[in-house]
Amino acid sequence: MTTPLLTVQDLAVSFPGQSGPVRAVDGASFELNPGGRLVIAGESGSGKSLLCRSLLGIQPETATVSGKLEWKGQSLVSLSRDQWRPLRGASIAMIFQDPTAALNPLLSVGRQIIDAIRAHRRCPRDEARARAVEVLGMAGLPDPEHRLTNYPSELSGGMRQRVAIALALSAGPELIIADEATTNLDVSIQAQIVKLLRRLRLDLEVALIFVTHDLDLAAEVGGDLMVMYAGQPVEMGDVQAVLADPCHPYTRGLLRSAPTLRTTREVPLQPIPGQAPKPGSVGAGAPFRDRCPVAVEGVCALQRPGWSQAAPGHRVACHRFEKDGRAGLP
Amino acid sequence: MEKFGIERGGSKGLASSRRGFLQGAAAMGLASVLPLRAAAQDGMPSGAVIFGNAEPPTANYWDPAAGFGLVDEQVASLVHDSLLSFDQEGNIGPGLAVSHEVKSDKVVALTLREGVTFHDGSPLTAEDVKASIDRLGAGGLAQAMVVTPGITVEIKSPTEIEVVSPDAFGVILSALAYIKILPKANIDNPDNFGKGGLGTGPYKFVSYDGTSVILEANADYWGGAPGIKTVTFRYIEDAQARINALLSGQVDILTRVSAEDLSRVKDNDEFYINSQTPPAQIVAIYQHNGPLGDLKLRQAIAHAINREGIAASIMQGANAVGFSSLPTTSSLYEPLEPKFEYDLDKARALMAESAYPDGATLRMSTSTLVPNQIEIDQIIAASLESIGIKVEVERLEVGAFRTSYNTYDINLNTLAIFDYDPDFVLGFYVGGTAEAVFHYHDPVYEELYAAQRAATAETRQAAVTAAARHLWENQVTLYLSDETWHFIVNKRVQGYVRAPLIGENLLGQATVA
Amino acid sequence: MKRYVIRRTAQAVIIVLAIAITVFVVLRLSAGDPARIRAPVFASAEVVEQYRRDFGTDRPIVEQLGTFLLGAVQGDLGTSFRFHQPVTELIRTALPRTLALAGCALALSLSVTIILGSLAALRPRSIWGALATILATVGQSAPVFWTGALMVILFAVNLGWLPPGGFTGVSSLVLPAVAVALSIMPTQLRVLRSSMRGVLREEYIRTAQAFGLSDRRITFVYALKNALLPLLTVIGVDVGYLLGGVIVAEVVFAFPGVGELALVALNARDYPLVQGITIVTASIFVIVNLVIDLAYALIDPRIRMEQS
Repeated sequence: MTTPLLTVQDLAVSFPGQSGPVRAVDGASFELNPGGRLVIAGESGSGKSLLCRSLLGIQPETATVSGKLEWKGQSLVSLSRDQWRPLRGASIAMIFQDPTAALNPLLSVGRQIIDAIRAHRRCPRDEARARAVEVLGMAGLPDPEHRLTNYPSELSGGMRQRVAIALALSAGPELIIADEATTNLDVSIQAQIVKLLRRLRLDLEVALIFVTHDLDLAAEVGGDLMVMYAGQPVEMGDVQAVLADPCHPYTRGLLRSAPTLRTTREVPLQPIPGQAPKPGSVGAGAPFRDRCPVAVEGVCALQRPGWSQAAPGHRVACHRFEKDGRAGLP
Repeated sequence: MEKFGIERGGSKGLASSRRGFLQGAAAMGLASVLPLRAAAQDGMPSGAVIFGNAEPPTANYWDPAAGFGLVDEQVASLVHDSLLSFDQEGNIGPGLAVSHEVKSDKVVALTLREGVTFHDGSPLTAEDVKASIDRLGAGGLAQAMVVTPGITVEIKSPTEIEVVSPDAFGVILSALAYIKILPKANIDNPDNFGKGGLGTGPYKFVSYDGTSVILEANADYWGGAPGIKTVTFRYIEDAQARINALLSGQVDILTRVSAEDLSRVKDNDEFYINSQTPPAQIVAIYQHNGPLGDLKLRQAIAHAINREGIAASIMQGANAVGFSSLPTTSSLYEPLEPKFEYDLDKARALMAESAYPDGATLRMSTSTLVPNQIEIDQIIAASLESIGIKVEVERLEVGAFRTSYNTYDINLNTLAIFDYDPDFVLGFYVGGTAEAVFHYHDPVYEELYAAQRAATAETRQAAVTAAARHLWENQVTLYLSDETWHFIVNKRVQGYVRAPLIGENLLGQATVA
Repeated sequence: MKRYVIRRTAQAVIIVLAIAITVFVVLRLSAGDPARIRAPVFASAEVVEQYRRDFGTDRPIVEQLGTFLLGAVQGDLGTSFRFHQPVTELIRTALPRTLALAGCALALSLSVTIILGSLAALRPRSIWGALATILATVGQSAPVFWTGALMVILFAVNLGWLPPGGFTGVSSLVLPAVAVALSIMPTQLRVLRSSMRGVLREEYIRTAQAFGLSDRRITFVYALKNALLPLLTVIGVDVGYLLGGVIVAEVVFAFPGVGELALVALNARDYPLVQGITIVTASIFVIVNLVIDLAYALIDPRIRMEQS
């Protein structure tokens, strides 16, 4: 039995609110083995990004992280700034959602990658430079040698994202978190990037957390899936299994609302009615209850659902499922 | 417009009247023992002294006869010698002339010192003396006014000369102790004055950079080497910067300071104060070719300005306020009526009677020549504003001020006179001087002036008062107050004395610790 | 980029030329007759006429302008009435002192601003934040002549550590530079602090943190470079204010720089010197703004791309 790379259990990220702390992420739990894959899916505002940031300790300063968060058995919850530093980039690296905002506009691509390398390894500038060329090549940037002197503004969106990936690879991490890394790209480039991430994962044996609101992409990446709603996980299991047999009303709604390549176009798209609540505003009860067509009267409003087993390795947190099984679902 | 005169003690005894003067001068002619400079006996000059002045030289033009500026006089008094000299009490002694004899009220015979050389090594000759005095007699130079027109030198032998005035010239010895003897070569070629001062005096001219004049001791000086090696006259325009430079030891002597400056060193035992009460007046000079040609307007101004208030506040009581066109320290001074006291109602009434009942506009220039000049000018401008006279004030540096004040209607200035005899101060208002300084020409006054010159001892007081009264009643200019001169000296400068108002000609006696 | 530089330089040259002509014409038309001002009070009409010939003011104004511009192009700005020296020589002596003073003041102000402003933005509730606020408030409310006078009394008169004025070497720069720095610091400090605060919230700062860069590196390289752009604009605008402060400081400290020279020139009605100083300072002003514009392009690759 291998030690899990990352163990997350009942992780909560809360902000101080007017009437006590507000939990923007609540009850996140998963394990990731070396080389493993996890897809976190959910609409924007579901707390995915905040969860990812808390894994690197770069949540906003006002936020408090509680619960269990372990890297190779070592707790990360109460690390100091200085203790966090060696982990960031070297053990866990992140690819941010918007490469235009995430890259410093006034520093050259090479400078940013070299700095990230030298933040962890005291090595001569030449060596760091060679490594930067190497990772840019790995990220699929043509003519990497010449890209070093480019500024982010001189590159296209896809190229920028490849730079962000190169940056993530630069210090040889064991886990890469791709936070909506393909969201701002057009479809053909999205596919290329996902393909690149999959290949890199295999080549470098690096674990991957892939965050997306697009269940199609989730299927492309594979591995485990955690569906989040309003800061809480609502369904977990193998991606293929969950998508083939979604057991939470929200997951089902999500599948029906999105244009996908795998679902047929015979059924018209059905957006989920209502608006996603603000994270932390759901209080007790099932988070999806207000938009749920099959909410259980008198239960969903009061009680937070526990996990039920839908299939081996496939769990769902839903009162309706617990009560009526698949038959009760819309 | 300044003249540098001598102190009460000496010249009053000598020259309070022409007759008394002649007797005194005859006795002086016997004097032949030199008052040797104390420091000269100690051998080589050493150390440096730095003066802090509120003004630069008038121009980069080192002709002593061309102007009357404070710095011009400081430099000229050290670089050049005169035929006669003043001591601390104002007594007249020998100079480039070892002896003199007053032959009549028009003629003085002098014996020149032998072996004197200019700083460039060329010997001093009777020709140099003649050229220096004759050019003043010929007129056209600022200092021509200190002599009688047409005065000339007759050379009897290489060492024997006679100074001959066409008219009676009572204060001729004082004039000879003041007039600087220059090389004839420079007088013939005035461009040389632009290169620096060249004289026979205790200090040699070294340099002027637009701010500081530097002089160096003339170790071969005929009167003995001076005590201090280097003398610097530094121009610091800002009053605060000036007193701070003194307090922090950057400069050693502050010249002609204000009442505030005195209060800054009041309880400070690092400094001592040298005060002089020469017959000097602070006046606001009027140009009579503009609105100030109007008598009623001038009288209105006299009533509109609180002279005693200014003397008590800004000048902190240092200067007496007189009621005449003469300074109170002048001999024959008498307070006159009417007093032209501070009275705005009278001032407004006179304005209404003037040619400018609806008000007038005057151009004023201000500078740092008189201590607190800018503050006093502000009060004058504000006072005139209250009787309907608008004053446009322009700020000038002292050099430009001295050469252009007569292009402005009104400006504060000093009439510091050469001698306690009122003849000199009354002489400002006649002839070419009156025209240049005041644009003033008054035949009635010219007669009164001539009358006091021709008066006997018995009638002189009445004649002087008549002339002074004419100026006062006509308010030819604004007679603000007397002026006391204060110098603050750092105690490291020992033996600092002055012969009032003729520069720093006694500095050779001082030493520095 | 090259075309941009050429275009901006040409603009600068035209501005300086326009200033030169304006200054010349305004001085000739509005000010009095230089000969009348410089000639002694007792001078005869012939002497005044001689002055006019010497100054060249007896010529038609167009001819005077032509002579002046022709000379100026060759680096000859005429001879000072007050100092009887070539104007260029006077400026050559005074300008390095003023530039040293302005440079020291700017360097001092910028160093304090960058260090203190960055630290204050990074840790607003620390002692640095408090210190930045105090400095900004003091500098804002105390004019140069006041702080200057106070420093002279304390450090020169009472303690005797530094000269109260004049120019006797590097030590003469200290007090005026500090006084000027204090006066220009508040704006810089405020601008940097707020732009730094904004920048520290940017996503690329999060990225730098996520890759384990040290706080120092993040603050002083990743954030500062971006936060400097608004500061650079402020400095450009502030050059006038800086020069003004320098002039006041030069007067307060009797510091023989261009400011004092200009004041003397004005008060002495020394027109060649006034003209010369105006043209030289205007050129410096224009050049500084040009350099800042170009520096902008140099720091920010986005501008560089737009311009090319």
